[in-house]
Amino acid sequence: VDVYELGTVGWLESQAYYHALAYLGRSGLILLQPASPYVCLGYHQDARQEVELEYLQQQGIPLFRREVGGGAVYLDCNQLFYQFVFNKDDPRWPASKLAFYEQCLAPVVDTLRQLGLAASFKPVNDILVGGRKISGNGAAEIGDCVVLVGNFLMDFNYDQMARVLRVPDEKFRDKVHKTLEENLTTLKRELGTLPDVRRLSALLLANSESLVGGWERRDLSRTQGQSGGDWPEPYDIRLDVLQ
Amino acid sequence: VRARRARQVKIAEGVYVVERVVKLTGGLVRLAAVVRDDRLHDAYLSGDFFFYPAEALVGLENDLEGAPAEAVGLQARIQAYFNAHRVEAPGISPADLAQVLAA
Repeated sequence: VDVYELGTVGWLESQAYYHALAYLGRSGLILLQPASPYVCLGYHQDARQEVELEYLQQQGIPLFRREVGGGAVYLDCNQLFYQFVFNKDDPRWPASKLAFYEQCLAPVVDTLRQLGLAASFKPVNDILVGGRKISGNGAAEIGDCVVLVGNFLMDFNYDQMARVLRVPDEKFRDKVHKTLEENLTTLKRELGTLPDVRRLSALLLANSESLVGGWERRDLSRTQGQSGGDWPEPYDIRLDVLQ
Repeated sequence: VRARRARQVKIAEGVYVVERVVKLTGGLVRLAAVVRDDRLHDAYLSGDFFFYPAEALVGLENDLEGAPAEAVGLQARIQAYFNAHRVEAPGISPADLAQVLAA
């Protein structure tokens, strides 16, 4: 199965590639980091209810709705994303989403353990260290594929996450910030230093090899391009359309 | 159903625009709908949950158009929809949704 280690890519590409693979019906694993921050909305969420759209617009933070459920998240370059895309008909993948999460996340848990952290899988889709979430995950059916996307939180901007979520008042925002700090941790916080991304990627690839019987390294061809020059203007959040 | 917030605006006798927010184990579910003569119209469900297949959520909203806003009947109707479309919604049962949707 193909693996694409893309390093740092544009924020939009950090979401576009796995959607594209799934719609093309091509199995693969993508590892990447987004070059710049953005907010990613769950498929079933109401943007106006969940996100401070005016703040995003002021700050020039783009917003993307993924075709994966779950909640709004603040994503940036301090997170290493893994994006598994598999053919739905492949008998290796269990029908139940819970079992699918468990199967795909086992190598992620192993990777964290190899770094010396007491990581564990918490159903449905969290990975915890010391009772705190260190990796967020979501699964979806896109095209003829099942997809699992998630990240290693190497470092995390708690302030921005608390700013971008829509809350009824500022007191509530303080509570969100405090609760995030209490319930979400990072590799930097646990290890005392930022991990080496290349090592993290290499460990995850080795640990996940048995899922697919081996990875075959692929690059993006020239036609697939990495420039991102033709993408729509990222900051153009059309509030007038949304409201 | 763990917590519930509800708001409704009366438009005319027997016509209400309702909003309900419920925290279920599968996530937060928001409903916006019109209830006219105790029947559901224009139901719109959103939230941070997972629903497979994703497009079946809109299908469910359409299926509920005009349904009596009453929990027992709604639960049966939602269950039938889940079965027919092989819906998988971890932590969100037809009974939960019926509670959210019932007037």
